[in-house]
Amino acid sequence: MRVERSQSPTEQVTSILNEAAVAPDENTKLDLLLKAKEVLVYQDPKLLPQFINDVIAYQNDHSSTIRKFVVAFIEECCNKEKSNVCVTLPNLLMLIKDRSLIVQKRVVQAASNIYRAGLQWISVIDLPSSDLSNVWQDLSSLKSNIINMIDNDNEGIRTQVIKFMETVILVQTYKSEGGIDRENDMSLEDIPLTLKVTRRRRLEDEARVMFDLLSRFCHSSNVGCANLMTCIGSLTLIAKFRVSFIGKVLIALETLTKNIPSSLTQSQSNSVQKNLKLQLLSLLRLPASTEHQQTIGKLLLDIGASNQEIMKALQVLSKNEDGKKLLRSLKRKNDDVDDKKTDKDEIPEKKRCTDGTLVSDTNINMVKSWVLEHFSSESITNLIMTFMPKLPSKMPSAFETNYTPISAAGTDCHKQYVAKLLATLLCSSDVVIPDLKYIKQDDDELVDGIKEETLKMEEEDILLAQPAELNLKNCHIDPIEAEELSLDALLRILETSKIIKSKQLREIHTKVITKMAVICSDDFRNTILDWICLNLTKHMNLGLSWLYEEYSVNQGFIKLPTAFRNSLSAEQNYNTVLCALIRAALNGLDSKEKEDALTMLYFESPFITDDAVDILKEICSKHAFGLVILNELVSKRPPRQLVYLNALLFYTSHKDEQLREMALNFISKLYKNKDLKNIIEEYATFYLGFLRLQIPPDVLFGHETGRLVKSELWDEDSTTACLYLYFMLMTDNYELIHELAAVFTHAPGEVKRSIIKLLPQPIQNMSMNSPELFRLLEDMPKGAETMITRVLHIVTEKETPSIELVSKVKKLYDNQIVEVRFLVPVISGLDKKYILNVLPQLIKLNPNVVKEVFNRILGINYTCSNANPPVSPAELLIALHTMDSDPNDLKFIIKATSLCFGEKTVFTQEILAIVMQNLMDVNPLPTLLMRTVIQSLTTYPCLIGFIMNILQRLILKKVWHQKKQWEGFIKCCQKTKPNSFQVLLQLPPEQLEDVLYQCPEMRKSLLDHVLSFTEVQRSHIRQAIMDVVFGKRLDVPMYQNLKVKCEPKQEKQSPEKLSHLKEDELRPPGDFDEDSMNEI
Amino acid sequence: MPNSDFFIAVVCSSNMNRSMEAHAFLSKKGFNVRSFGTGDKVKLPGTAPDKPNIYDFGCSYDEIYRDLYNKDKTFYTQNGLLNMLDRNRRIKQHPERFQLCDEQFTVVITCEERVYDQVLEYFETIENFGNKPVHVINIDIQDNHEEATIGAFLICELVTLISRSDDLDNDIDKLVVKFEEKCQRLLLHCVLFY
Repeated sequence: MRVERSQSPTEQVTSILNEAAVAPDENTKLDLLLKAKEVLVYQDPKLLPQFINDVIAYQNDHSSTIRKFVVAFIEECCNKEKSNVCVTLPNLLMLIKDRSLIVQKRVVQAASNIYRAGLQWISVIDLPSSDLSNVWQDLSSLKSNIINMIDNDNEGIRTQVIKFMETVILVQTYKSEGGIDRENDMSLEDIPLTLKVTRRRRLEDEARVMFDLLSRFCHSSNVGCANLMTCIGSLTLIAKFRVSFIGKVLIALETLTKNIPSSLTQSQSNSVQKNLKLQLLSLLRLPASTEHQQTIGKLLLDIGASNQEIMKALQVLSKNEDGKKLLRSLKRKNDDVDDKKTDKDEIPEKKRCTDGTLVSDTNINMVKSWVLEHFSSESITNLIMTFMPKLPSKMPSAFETNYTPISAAGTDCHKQYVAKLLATLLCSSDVVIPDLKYIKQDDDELVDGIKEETLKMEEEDILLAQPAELNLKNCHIDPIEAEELSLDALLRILETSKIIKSKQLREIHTKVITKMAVICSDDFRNTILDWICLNLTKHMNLGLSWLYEEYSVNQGFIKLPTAFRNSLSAEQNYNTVLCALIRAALNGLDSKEKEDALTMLYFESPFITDDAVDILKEICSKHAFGLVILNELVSKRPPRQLVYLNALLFYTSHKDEQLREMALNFISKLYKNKDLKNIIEEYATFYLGFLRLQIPPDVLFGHETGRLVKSELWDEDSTTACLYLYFMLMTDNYELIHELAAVFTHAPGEVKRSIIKLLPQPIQNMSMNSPELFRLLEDMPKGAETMITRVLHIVTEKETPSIELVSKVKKLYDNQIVEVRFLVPVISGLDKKYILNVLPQLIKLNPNVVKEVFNRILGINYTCSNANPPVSPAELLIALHTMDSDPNDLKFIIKATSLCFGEKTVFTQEILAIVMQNLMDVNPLPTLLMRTVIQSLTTYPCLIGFIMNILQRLILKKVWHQKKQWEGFIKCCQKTKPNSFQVLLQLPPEQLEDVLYQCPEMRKSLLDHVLSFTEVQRSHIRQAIMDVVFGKRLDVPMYQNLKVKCEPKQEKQSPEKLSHLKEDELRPPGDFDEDSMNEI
Repeated sequence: MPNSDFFIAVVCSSNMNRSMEAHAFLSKKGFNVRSFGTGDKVKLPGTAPDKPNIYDFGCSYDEIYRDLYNKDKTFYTQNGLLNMLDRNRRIKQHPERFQLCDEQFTVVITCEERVYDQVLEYFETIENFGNKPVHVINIDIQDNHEEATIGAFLICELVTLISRSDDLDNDIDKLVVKFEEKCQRLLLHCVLFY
């Protein structure tokens, strides 16, 4: 602790602070810190910036004394140098929440000075407006924090808050002429008009509000004595410095004199009156108060000031004309009183009541009690009626000026006041009060009696004086018993609801219970709550009214006396009540009532807390009406719209279909609302985004979503959960398709499949000329081709593709951005040449796709079939035969032609005939010609005549020069025997020989055929042919040959039958209709 | 409340009898106490009711003692004035006037209503914007030796009560009511600000 002389101030402070840091007990520490403060603030202020934070750091000290010191330190720093305000404000804002009330109080105390200093500082300093507004924000938040403490439980804190309000009012109002002028008196004039952070006008308004708060505070019935006096002091101080407030202050004080709180003890109310008197006298001395002198004078007389005192105060102002006037009038009055006094002397002793002595006070009190006792509507009416005729015809001017309307007539205070006035009148007159006569008889004789009587009267007096409150002096009830009694009383009050019929009375009843519920202890609250829940439907109004009351408290519309509050905050209280009511509705009632009650609670409560929203979510998962409520809340309670909207959105991915559909329905309606559109879209996109993940996120599972088991893989259920909403939105807004495509490219395989599967639903109505579709095509995400092809398929399913669409797709294909598959959906829109060009690629696709391609080309399965397909079936088939192709691709062509034959409705026998006819003209003959011929025959056996014709023509074309065709020719003949025999016989002998060599089994039947000819017929056949038929050149014996070859022929045919022929095609060739042949 | 934060002023009209009695009593108990008068002059009873002894506040107890000693030693010994002055001069140099004191107290205790009024009036004249609270409490004590002794006793009791409170601003109302009940006297109390 010892500090070397030689040390520099910096070292000195450092060593003090170091020592303080390790000080063993708080007193030593405090001493050291005080020493540091002395140096920093007063001896060497230039060191302050360097060390200020080191000292303030002690604000976290565990000792409240040290923390208190820190507050004092801050205050002194700010007083010394105003710029410190901005440095220390954040610390103060922390300290005001200190756990120790003493520290809090000290902060409020310091705040007055700091607020003044801060405001002065921002008025003169030139800072960037952002810094300035920070300081102003901190100041404002300090201010609001403190004002909110006006209801603090601690009277000391309240006292300081009052002083703080006084400062704010003084600082934020204008000075005016006639007020006291002080050097340090900061006022609104000192705040520059150019100040950016706030405006004078706003500050002044705030000051006015605060003044009202202050005057209301001093009128509240349970204000403490010290607070009341502080209030009175502050009000007069304001009146003195801001004379424009004198009128208001006087009104406030006047109300106060008539309503001195009944909770004050005798001595307290004496103190208050004394204080009030002193303050009023000091106001009277104020030059600016001249116009209010009458009022002040009257007030002073009312609270028992003597004329001398008033005159003494006025003498200060005696130079003033008005003052003189008032002085004169008062003097006159004084004389009158003196006159009366002399009159009184003549009245016999026993009838006279003198004032000033203790005895006479008792007398007045007794008379007052007596008067009070006889107060009844009847007696008052009589009194007034008797007095009426004696009123002057014109209102005396003195009355007019002095009269103030009685604000609260009929209250007990007012009655007391009137009684006292009457009693004073009675005592100063010579009226004899019959009942009191014995008191005024000889004192000596009846001393004891009087004492007894007095005591009794005084007791009554006390009881009368505090009718509404239990006077603990008079009745001692065991606290437990008192509690039981009060609960019983509450139950009785609650039960009265059964007998109340009139609406007005019911309102009062509700109001009473509501008030009790809000201000009483938890026991009361619970009892009332239970009672409401007992029959919620019936007591709903009461519940709601309670909620509104709690809400008003919460919002500060109603200030509750702190004594009545329970430990919970107003917000918690509100929440508890609301949730309790909702749960009661949820548990107790049948479904219809439940719905009504809950709907009412959610719609009519002033505020829906987070907890209540959570409950609502729970409700939704069980009852569909929960969603109806949510939906209504979204549109009817805009401030917290988003909370409800989110809850509602959550259900769009619910597993339960009914709930989900409902939620989706509501959302689709809300989606039309411009404000919500984006939010809903964001939510949907967010969910869609889940699909990029490797495994489904947790949010999709759990009790709330209806998916109880968490799946580690994407399955259809979890995928669709992410898509419901998105797809629904997409039906209204195709723009969303881009994001879908983007997600698609990154999604796992299972998800892709699900998307493809569900895709038709959202875009079924999408126009093929939709700009979004074009945009998608133009700038196609890589990997989304599958999806886009699907989209194209869907949009072109019902109509032929539009020219624009076709051209777009064509362009994509031409630029080799996409595969040929892409052309499939638009193929019916392509021109013939193009189609035939890409045909070789197309037929290499999956057979199903090829089938689809053909269907599209030919317009099969279309609802509104294209009257003119770009390529006719015949052309298609011809194209298939004639296109240039790799021999390896032959199998694709074969498959493709087989597909054509499958479509019997399109590829009719006529078409096939045309095809064959055309193919015959091609040179060289197409590879598959004979295959097609055979297949046509198998498909349409009645074409046999035509085919014979073909075969004959083939002979003319010397078909044997092409090996493949020749094989086909032989095969065909084989199949068409016996009709083909005629054709065979037209072959040149070498070729016939070749045929018979290749199909030896034909020889016998051909021979039989020839043998069956008549001679004439036989003569038409050339000899060479006949030789071949009869096999003259053959070495093998005919008989043997026949015998051997017959059987394997049967065997050979059977596998062919299985592979190529269908049941009905197994008819013997002779059965076919000759006529149909002729038609061809 | 630690003594270091707790400053008491006891005030009567002449800073002779009641305030000094309490001053002596309280400082013996270890409180930070000062005593004052509020009157214009220091007035002491003289040999006849119309002949009071009047001194300035600057006049020391010792001087007054010697003055009275010289005037009428027997009379002033008999009525106890010399004895009282002798005690006073052991406590401090001279009577002090409350209105001239700059120190800020936690509690000001006055010994009669007139003094209380004067203290209040004095605070009225300060008229600054201070907010350091001071509690002014009045206990009526008649101006004679016996009552002064009893009064000092009461004051000490009240001060002890007050000094035990951790949060005086909060407890003062209750304390005063409690004390009133206990000693069966009416007190006056108010909060003022330096």
